[in-house]
Amino acid sequence: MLVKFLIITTSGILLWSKKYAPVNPSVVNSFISDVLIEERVQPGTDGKYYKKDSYMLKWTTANDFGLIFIAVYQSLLQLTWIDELLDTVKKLFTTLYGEQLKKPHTATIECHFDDYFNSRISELERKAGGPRPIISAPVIEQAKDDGKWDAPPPPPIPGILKAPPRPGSPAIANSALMRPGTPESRSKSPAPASHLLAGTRRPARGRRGGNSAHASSGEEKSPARNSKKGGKKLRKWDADGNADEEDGAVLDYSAPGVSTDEDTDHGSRKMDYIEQKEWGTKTSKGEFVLKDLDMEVNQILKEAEEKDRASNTASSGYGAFGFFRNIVGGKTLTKADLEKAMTAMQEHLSKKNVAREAAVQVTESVEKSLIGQKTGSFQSIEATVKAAVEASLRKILTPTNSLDLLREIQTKRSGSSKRPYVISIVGVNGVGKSTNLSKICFFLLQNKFKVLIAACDTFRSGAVEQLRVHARNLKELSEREGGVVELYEKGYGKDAANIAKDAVAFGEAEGFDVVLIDTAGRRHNDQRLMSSLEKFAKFAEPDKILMVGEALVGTDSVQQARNFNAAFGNARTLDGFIISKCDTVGDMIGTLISMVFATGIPVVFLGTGQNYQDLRTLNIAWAVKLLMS
Amino acid sequence: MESSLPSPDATPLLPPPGGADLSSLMASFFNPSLPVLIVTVIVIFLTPLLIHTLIFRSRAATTLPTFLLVGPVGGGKTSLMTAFESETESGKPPPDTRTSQSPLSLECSISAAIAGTSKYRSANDPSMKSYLKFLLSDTPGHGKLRHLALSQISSPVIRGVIFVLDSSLTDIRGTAEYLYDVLLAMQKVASASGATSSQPKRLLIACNKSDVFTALPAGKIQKLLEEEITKMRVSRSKGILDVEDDGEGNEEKEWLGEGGEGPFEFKAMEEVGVEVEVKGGSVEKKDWKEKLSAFIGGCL
Repeated sequence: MLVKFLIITTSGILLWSKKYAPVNPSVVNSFISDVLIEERVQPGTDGKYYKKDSYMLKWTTANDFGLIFIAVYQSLLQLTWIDELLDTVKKLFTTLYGEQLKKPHTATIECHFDDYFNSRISELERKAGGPRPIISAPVIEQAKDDGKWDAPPPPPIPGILKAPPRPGSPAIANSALMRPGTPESRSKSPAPASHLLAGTRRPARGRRGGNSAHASSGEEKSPARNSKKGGKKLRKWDADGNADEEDGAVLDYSAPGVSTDEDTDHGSRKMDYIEQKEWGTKTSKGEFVLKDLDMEVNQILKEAEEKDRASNTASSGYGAFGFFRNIVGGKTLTKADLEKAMTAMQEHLSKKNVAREAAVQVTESVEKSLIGQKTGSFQSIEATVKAAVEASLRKILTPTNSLDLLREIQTKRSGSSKRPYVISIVGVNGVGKSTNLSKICFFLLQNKFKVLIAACDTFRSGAVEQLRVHARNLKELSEREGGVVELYEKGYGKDAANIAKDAVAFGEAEGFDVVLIDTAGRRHNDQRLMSSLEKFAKFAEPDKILMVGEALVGTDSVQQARNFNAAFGNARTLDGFIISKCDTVGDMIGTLISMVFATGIPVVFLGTGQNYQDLRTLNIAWAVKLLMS
Repeated sequence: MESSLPSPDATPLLPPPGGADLSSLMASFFNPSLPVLIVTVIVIFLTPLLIHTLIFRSRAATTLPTFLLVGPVGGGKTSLMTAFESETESGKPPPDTRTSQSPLSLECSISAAIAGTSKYRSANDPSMKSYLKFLLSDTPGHGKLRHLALSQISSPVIRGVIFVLDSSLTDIRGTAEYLYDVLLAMQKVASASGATSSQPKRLLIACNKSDVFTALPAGKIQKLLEEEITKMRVSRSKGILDVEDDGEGNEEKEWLGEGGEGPFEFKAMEEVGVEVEVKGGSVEKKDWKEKLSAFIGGCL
C-alpha cells in the first residue's frame, strides 16, 4: 500500500507530502543521492524503481519546474496504478502551482493539494477495481462538512485531519501560522498554512483564461487564506454568514462543539470547497462537492494533455519565429529539438573513445534532464546541450568520497590495529598491473612507508622475476630517502589467495605499513579465472582493490569494469581505477568515462609514462576539457 | 546556358503589372492612411517591449550581497536557510527538507543596526531602523555536486561563507576535507584580490544540531578539525600531482595557511586574509537567528 507521497524540489525542499505511515526521511535521502545524484541503477530494477529497506520507491521528475514526485510504498504489494498516479499528480501540481514555482528566490509555495490528491487516488483505485488500501474517508467527510452544517461530525481521522491552522479571526490565524509545529504535525498536515512562505503570498493572476471556471479555484482560494494581511475580513467567501457565528466560537476551541470542532479540525480546507462551490454547481449538497473536485481534476488533466499535444504539434510549425527563438534563447526544449544535437554529441563522444553504451546513456540522461527546460538568453540549443553534457561528465567523474591515499594509510596505521594497509591490483592481461603497482610503490616509498610487495601472480612465467626487478630498482632508488621495500614471493603454481593471506600476515608481523598485492591478469569474461577473485578478496581482505584499465581499450571497457566490479562477491566491490597508458591516446580519454559510468567507481590514478614517477591523479577539469574539445 | 534562356522571355512580360502593383503599393504606404499609422505606432512601441519580455522575463536583479551556505551532506544547510528566512521574513514554520541537488537562494534581511558599518552611527539615525537585504544561497553538499559551491566562492558578490556541519561529526575526515577545499578556495580569492581590498574574507563554521545527544561542543569541534587539517595539509602536499600539473613549484599555491609546517590553526588563516569563526547552535532550538545575524551584520 502507498506509504507516502512526496513532492520535493531539486533544491531539497519538501513542498507537499501525504503520509499514510511514518517513513524515515533517510529512505528518501538515500534515494536522492543514489539514483538522482550518482545515477546508480540498482541491479535488477532496470532503473524503474528503487528499493530500500522494505520500501519501494517510484518517481517522476518535472525538469521545467525542478520538481521530483516520489511515491513510497511497501515492496510486498504491487500497485499497478502508481505510475499513473505519479503522472497525473505531476500534471495537476504543475498546472496548479507552476506559476508560483517559477518565481526567483522562493522556497515554498502555497499549496492546498490534499483534496486533489485524494480525489486522484480514489479514482485510480476505483479504476483498478481492487481493494481500497487507502482510507479515502477524509474526502467524503469533508464533503459532508460543507453541505450539512448541522450534521454531527464524524470522529476525526487521526493523522490526516489534525491540521493545526484555525482560520478564525486574523489574530488567531496568525498565531497558528507562526506556531512552529512539531515535526510530526508539520509533515502530517500538508495543510496550506504550514507551507506558506514569503514572496509567494500573492497567487499568480491570469494563469489561464478566466472563463474556465473550475480550474481557477487555485487562485481564488488564496486571498481568503491570506490571513496575514491584516484587517481583511477572512470570511468573505461565506455567503450564508456562517463566518460571523464562528468568529466568536473559534476562540473557545477547547469546547467540543459541533461547529468549532469542524472549524478547528479542518477549517482551512473547508474554504477550498466553498470557494469552489461559488464557481461550480450551485447545489450545495455534500456529494456534489466531491464530484466537483473530480471534475475539476479531470479538466485540469485534460487541459494539460491538450497543451502537451498542442506543443508537440506546434513546436515544429513556428518557422521563422522558432528560428528567432533559437538564436535569442528562451525556447522550451522538446525531444525533437534535442534530437539533432544529441546525435551529434553521441558521435563526438564516440570519437573520444567513449564506449557506445556509455555515450548513449550519458546523452539519454542529459536529454531527459533537458526536456522541458528553457534555453538561456542568446543561447542556442547546441550550446545548452554542450553545457549539460559537460556538467554530466563532470558529475560522473567527480568522486563521492575522498581519494587521499596517504591520509587513509596514515589513519589506518595510527589506529590500534597492527594490520598493514593492503592494496591489491587486478586487471586484464597486459594492461600494466605490475608497472602501476611499482609506480604506487615508488610514491609510497617517497613518503617513507615500509612497503611489502606480494607476488601473487603464480601463473604467468616471469611474473615474479619481473616484480623482483622492480623491487630491486625501487630499493636502490629509495635507499637514500629511507623507504623500505621487500618482495614476498612463493614461486609459481600455488594458490594466489593463500599467498596473499600469508603475505599480509607476514607484513603484520614484520611491521610493514603497506602491502601491495599483484595478481595474475585475467580475461574478464573467463568465468573460471574471475571466480577465484572472490576467494582472493575474502582471504586477503584488501583495504583497496584497484583495477587497472588501459586507456586504449574501446567498447570493451564497460564490460571489463562491470565484470571485475561484480567478481568480488556481494559484499565487496572495486575501490578505484587506474587508467594506464594515458600518454598514448592524446585527447581520446573516453575510457575514463566508460569505466566510471559503468560502475560509479572513481579513477584514482592515471598512468602517464614509462618512469616510476609517471603516476598522476585525475584532474576533472582537464579531463572534461579534453573530452569536450 | 540552356536553362537561362526562358528567363529573358519572361522578364519583359513581368514588369508592367509588377511595376503598377509596386507603385500603387508604395503609394498606399506613403499615403497618410489611419490604419497604417496605427499599425506603425503599435509596432514601434511593442517591439522593444516584446524583446524585453523575451530576454529578461525571468531574470531577477541579483546584485544583492550573497552569503554562501556550504558543508557536507546532512549538515542542515537547507534547513538553516529556510529557518532563517522564515524567522526573519515570513514568520511561518519552515518546510521539511531532503537532500538537495541544486542550489537555491532566498532573500533575507537583517536590521541595519546589526550591520558592521552601523557602529559609528548614532542610535537615532533613521537608517538604523531600516533593513539590509541579502541573499542566503544554499548549495548541495553531495560529493559530486560540491563544485557548484566551490566555483561560486570566487564570485565578488559573496560577502561571507557559512560552513554548516553536523555537531556529531560522524565523518570528520570527509568534513575536514570539504572544509579544507573551501578554505583553500577562499585563500586563493583573498590572495588574488591582494592587498587592495582590506576587507578579509570571512568564514563561519556553524556547528549545527547541537541539541542532539551525541553532539560535540563547538570548541572541541574546532580542535578536531584543526588537527585533521594539519594532517591533511601534509598528506596533500606530498600527494601525487594531478595530470595537468607539470610539477613546477606551485607548492605555495596549494599550501593552506601561512608558512610553517606546525599545527594548523584557524587563527593562522587571518594572515592570508581569511577570518574564521566557529559557533555552535541548532536549527531545532532556533538559536541561529541571532548568531547568523551577528556574523552577517559584520560582513555587510
